[in-house]
Amino acid sequence: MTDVVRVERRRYHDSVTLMRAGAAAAEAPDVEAVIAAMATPLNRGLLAGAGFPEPDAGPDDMVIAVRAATGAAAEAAVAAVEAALAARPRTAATGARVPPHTVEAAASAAPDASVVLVSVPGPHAYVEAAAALRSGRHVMVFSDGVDLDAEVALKQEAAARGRLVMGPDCGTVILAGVGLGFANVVVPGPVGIVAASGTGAQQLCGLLDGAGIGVRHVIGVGGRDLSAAVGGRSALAALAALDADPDVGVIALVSKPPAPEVAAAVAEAAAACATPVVMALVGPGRPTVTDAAAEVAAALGTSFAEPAAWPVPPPPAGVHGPLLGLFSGGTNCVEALALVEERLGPVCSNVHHDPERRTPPDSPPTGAHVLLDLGDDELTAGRPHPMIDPAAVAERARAAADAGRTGVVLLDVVLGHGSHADPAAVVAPAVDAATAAGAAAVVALVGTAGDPQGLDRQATALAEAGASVYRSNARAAGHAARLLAGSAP
Amino acid sequence: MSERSDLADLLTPPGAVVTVGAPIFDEALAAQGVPTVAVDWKPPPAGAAATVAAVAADPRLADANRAAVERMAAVRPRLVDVRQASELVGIARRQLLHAGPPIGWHEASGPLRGAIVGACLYEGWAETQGDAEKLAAAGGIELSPCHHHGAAGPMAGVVSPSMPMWVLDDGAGRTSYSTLNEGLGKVLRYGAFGKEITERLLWMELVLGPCLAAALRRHGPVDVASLIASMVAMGDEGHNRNRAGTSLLVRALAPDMVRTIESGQRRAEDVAEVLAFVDSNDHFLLNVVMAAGKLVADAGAGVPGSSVVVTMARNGTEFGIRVSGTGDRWFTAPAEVPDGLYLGGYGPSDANPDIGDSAITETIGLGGFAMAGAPAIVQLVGGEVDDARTWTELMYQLTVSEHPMWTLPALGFRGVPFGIDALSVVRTGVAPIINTGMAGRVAGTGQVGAGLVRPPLACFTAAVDALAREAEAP
Amino acid sequence: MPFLARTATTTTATPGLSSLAAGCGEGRRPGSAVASTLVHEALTGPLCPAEVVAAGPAATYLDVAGDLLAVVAAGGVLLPCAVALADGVRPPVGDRLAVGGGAVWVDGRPALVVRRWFDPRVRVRAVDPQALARLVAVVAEIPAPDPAVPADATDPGVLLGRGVGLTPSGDDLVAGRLAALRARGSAEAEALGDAVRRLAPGRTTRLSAALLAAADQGAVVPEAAAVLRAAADPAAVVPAARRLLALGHTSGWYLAAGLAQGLAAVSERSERTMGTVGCSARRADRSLRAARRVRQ
Repeated sequence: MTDVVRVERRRYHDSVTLMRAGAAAAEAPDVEAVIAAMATPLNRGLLAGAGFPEPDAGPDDMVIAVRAATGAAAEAAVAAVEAALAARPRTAATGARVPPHTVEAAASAAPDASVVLVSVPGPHAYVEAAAALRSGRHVMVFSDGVDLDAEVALKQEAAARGRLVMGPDCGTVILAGVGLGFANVVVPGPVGIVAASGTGAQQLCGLLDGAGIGVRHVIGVGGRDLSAAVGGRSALAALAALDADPDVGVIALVSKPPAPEVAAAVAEAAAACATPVVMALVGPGRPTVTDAAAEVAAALGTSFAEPAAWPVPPPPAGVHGPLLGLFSGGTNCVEALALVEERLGPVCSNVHHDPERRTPPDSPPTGAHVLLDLGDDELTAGRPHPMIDPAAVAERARAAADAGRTGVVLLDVVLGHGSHADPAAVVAPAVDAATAAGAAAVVALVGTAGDPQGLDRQATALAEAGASVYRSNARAAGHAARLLAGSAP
Repeated sequence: MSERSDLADLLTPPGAVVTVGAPIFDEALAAQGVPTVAVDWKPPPAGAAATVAAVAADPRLADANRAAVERMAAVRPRLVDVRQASELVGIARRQLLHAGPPIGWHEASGPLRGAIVGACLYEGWAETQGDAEKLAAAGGIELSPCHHHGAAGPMAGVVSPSMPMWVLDDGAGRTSYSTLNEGLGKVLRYGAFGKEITERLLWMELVLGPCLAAALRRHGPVDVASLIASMVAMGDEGHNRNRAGTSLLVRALAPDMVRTIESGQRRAEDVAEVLAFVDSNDHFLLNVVMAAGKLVADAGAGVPGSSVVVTMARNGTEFGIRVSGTGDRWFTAPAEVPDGLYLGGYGPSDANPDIGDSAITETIGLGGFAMAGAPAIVQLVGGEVDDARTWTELMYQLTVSEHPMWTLPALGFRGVPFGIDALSVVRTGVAPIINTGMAGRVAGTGQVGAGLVRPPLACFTAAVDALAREAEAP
Repeated sequence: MPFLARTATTTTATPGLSSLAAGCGEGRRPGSAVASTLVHEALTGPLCPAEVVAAGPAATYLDVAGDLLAVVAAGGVLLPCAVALADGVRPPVGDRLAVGGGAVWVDGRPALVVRRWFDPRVRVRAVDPQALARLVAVVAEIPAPDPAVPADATDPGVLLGRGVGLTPSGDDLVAGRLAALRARGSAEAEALGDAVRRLAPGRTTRLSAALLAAADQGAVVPEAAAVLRAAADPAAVVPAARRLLALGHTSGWYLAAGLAQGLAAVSERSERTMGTVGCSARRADRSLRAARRVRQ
C-alpha cells in the first residue's frame, strides 16, 4: 500500500463537492481510501485517524489523501479527484433554462454533441468554429465566404486539438448514417467518402445505393481544402480516420482535381492506407463519378449494374437548337460539361475553367451550348439555393422553352434531407412546356431509395412530364450529347 | 502507427448536434432522431466582426484570460484598519477623488456636483454652496478617479483628505481603500450638502472611524473573502443587498469593540452610537466589499492579450471599463439610466444616469451576477424571483470561470460567474447586468429607487477594438 | 400498455412502391423513425403483415414473417432489431399492422417512415489489457445479480433460458460473449453461434432469441457497443461500462460480464490481422481500364 498526500494551497471547495469527488476516485480497483477535504482541525483529525501523515496545511488549504495498492494507482486517484472537481456540473440543480448565446454555452449543455454545425454568415464563421474546437468538438462549417487565412488557422488549431474542420463551404456530412446538411438517406455499409464536393458525394451515394452498396460516412472537407494554400489538411485527416475505421472497406475521395502538390500528398496518403482508396476527381478528360462508383463496387468484389434510367423516346423530328444545362449541383455541372465538350466541342458555362468560355449566366452567346451552375455564389446571393427551391431552374427552363430556341434541356434534381420536399412537382411543368415546344428534356436524378422525397415517385413524375431520367449524371449528359450529335440513344 | 485515431469519436452517430446560424437543418436532424441545441446567435455590432475575429484568433487569448482570472481568484482580501484619507490615497491638498472614469466639473451631473460642494464645505475650502461651485468651476479643485488611487467609492464616491477610509490588503503587500458608508437619506454620496451632512461627516471622522480602527487593530485582520462566501449563502449579493454581511462584520468586531471600552481607549456611549449607526445602515458593508473588489480585480490587470474586464465604473455621466490586456486605458460611453422600482412619488424622470464605482462588485462576480443567491432583491429592483436566477445563469455565458469560494446554494453550490470576458460581451451583444441604487438627478435629492442597468456595449466594442490592434496572429 | 394494438393477421393491398418512402399525402403525416440495418430487408421489402407478440412500456415487439422487430419509443433502449421513434413522434395506435416499403403501416397508411439507418454491429480491432482489466473490475464490484447465473458460467446449454426477465440473465451473458467474439472476428464465435442457433429457439423468449441472433452478427445495444469500442482505450472503458451496468434490471450487468468473457478469450490469442470488408489488397492505383469496362 502506498500513501499519497497532496496539498493545494488556498484552494476552496465546499464539503459536498469534495466528498463526491473523493468517493468517485475511491471506486477505482486498486484504491483503498480517498479523503478529499479542507484541512480544518476536524478534518486533520480524520486524516490522522485514517493513518495518513500530518499534512502541512491549514484551514484554507485543500488536502487530497489517497491510499492505493501502487504509486501509479494512487496518482491516478489524485488525478481523478482533480478531474471531478474541475468537471462540476455546468447546469443548475433545478429550474429555469437560459438559451445559450454562445457555442461554448450550448456545448456545455450538450456533452453528447460531438459536432457543431456552423452556418452563420462567412465573416462571423471563424469565431464560432474556433469556439467549437475549443469546446472539444468537431465542426462542420456550412458557411461560405470565409477568409482563406481563417480557414488555415482553423485547420491548424483543429489538428493541434485532434478535431476535424469540415468546411468551410461544406454542405454535406454523413456520420455513421446520420446526415448533416444536404444529405441522402443511406444504409450504412462499407464505403467511406472524403468529399471536397458535396453534390459529387451525393451522386456517389445515390449510385452506390442503386447498386445495393451502403455508404457509412461522408466527411465533407470544404471546396478549398485541396488547394495549395490549405494543403488538404482536412482531407488527409479524414483519409486517416476512415482508414482506421474497421467498418470501412473502401474509401472514395470526390473532388475536382486538386493542386498538383496537394494531389501528390493525397496520393501518397492514399497509398499508405490499408483500405483501398478510389479517387473520383471530376473534370475534363477524367473518369466520371459513375466510373468511380463502379470502381468502388469492384474493390468490394460486388457487381455494379448499369444505374437505373427512365428513358423516353426522342422527339420524332429530332432536336433543333443548342443545349441548355441547368444544374443545382456544382460537380454535376462540371461533370456534364466535360462529357458534353468531349462529344460536341466547346460549350459555354458560368463556371467554365477556361476564362474565354466563361459566360455570364443571363447573356450567353446565341446558338451556343450553355451549361449553368445555378448554385454558384453569384446566382444564390439573396435567393435560396436551387436544391432548396428549384423554382429558379424551372423558370429558366420554361423561358427557354417559350423562346423556342433550345434543342435539349438538361438538368439535375437532387433529393435528400434539406432539399425541396417535392422538386419534381416544381420542375415537371417546365419539362412539360419544353417538350411541348419540341425540345428534349433530360434529367439527372440524384438520390437514394430512402430519401424522403421518394426516388421512384420523383422519377415517374418527371418521366411522365416527358423527361428522360437517369440516376447517373454522366449517363444523362451522355444522352443529351447524343441527342444533339444526332445519334440514336 | 496507433490503432486508435483521434477522430474515432467523429465516426459514430452524434448523440446531439449544436447548431449556430440559420436553423435550416435542425428539422432534418430531429427527423433522424438526433436532438439539436441551437445557439441563440446574433451578429456582433456592425463593424466589429473583424476585430472580434482578430481577438479570438490571438493565440495568447485563452492562456492570458486563464492567468488573469487565476490571479483574481487567488486574492483573499482582509480588512485591516481605518485611517484618514490623507495618509492613504496620495491625495493632494485641494484634491477630491470621485467615482468612475475621469471627469471635470463642467461635465459632472447633479449628484457629483452636490457631493463636491458638500466635500468643500466639510473640508472648509468654502463657506457656502455658491463659493464652492465657483471654486470648482474655476478649477480650484483637482478631481481624480478613486480607481487611480487604489480606492473605490459608491455613488458620487467623493473622497476628501479628512475622511476616514477602510484599509484592506491581500496579505501580500497590495492595499485598497474605501470611505465609510454614511447610510441612507440626505447623504454626501447622493449629492446632498449642508449642515446635516457636514455634521455627520465630522462624527464619522471623529467617532466612527477611530472606534472601528481601535476595534480592528485589536481584532487583527478580518477575512473578507470568507465573509463574502458566507453572505452570498445568506441572501446577500454584495452590491444592493449587504444586510447579512454587515451583521457578520459587527459580530466579528463586537468583542473587541467592548474591550476598547474596558481598556479606556473608547467611551461606552461612542461605541453604542457606532453600533446603533451600523444597525440603521444595511449598506454598511458595501464599501468594504467594494474595496475588496478592487483588490481582487486589480490582481487581474496587465496580462498581455487578456480580454478580462478589471474595472466597471460610472461617474454619473459616463460609464467606463478597463480590460486586463489594455492596461490603464478607459473605454467610456454615455451612462444609461437604471430601470426598476421607485421610492415614494419618484419616477423615471427623477433618476440620474448610472453612477458609482459599485459596479466593481459585478466585476468580481457579485451584485447582479450573484442575484440567484439573493432572490429577495426583486422586491427592490423589480421582476420575479425566477428572474434573479435567470440573470445569474445568463452571466455564466459572459465569464471565463466561476469563483472557487463564493458559491450559490440555489445553483447547487456553483461558484458565482467570475471573470467577465469583454470578447464574449461583444460576440453575444449581452452586456453584464448590474444591480444598483438610483440617485436623484437634482443634487441632494438622495436615493430615488433601485433597479437594473447595463453598461453600454460601446465600451466593450471599443475595448475589443483596442485588443485587436495589439492581437497576435495565429 | 402496448402502444401498438394487437392485431388479427390481415393482409392489406400492397401500395405501389413509388408512394411508399415519400409517405402518403392524405391524412396525418407519418412520424419519423430510425431503423437498424439488421431489419432493413423486412422494412424495405414488400408489405408484410405484422403481429404484436409482446409489449412493454417503452417498446412493442412485432413478428414479421418469423422475424422479430421492436418498435421502440424515443429515449428507449436502441435494440439491434429496432425501429426507434424520433423524439416527439407519437406511437401509432390501431389495427392491421404491416411492415414494408420503408415504413411501418397501421390501417393501410404509413405511420412511421424510416429517415435514418444505423448499423448496430461493432468491429473491434484491438484489446488493451488494461482496459479489459478495468472492465472486469467494474463488473466484479457488484456480485452476480441473479443467483442462478454466476459470472463465470459459459455453457450455452446450461445458460440459455436460465434466469428471469424478457431477456433471461443467462441469455444476456451468452449474448455478450458471443457479440464480443464476433466483434473480434474470433473463430470461437462460430462454435458458440452454432450452439446458440441450435438451442435458443426452444428455450427462451422470442425477443431474447432475436437479440442472440443479433449478437451472432456482432450487433448489440449502443451501451454495449460503446464498451466494445472502448476495449482499446483504458480511459473510456470505465464510464462506458458503468453506463452499460445501469441498463435494465440485470441485463446490463450480464451483458457486461459476457463482453468481458469474450474479450478475455480473444486477447489471450495472438493478434491476427483482420481484413476489412471486401478485400485487403491496396488498390489505390487501380487501373482506369477496370472502370471503363463497366461503363457502356
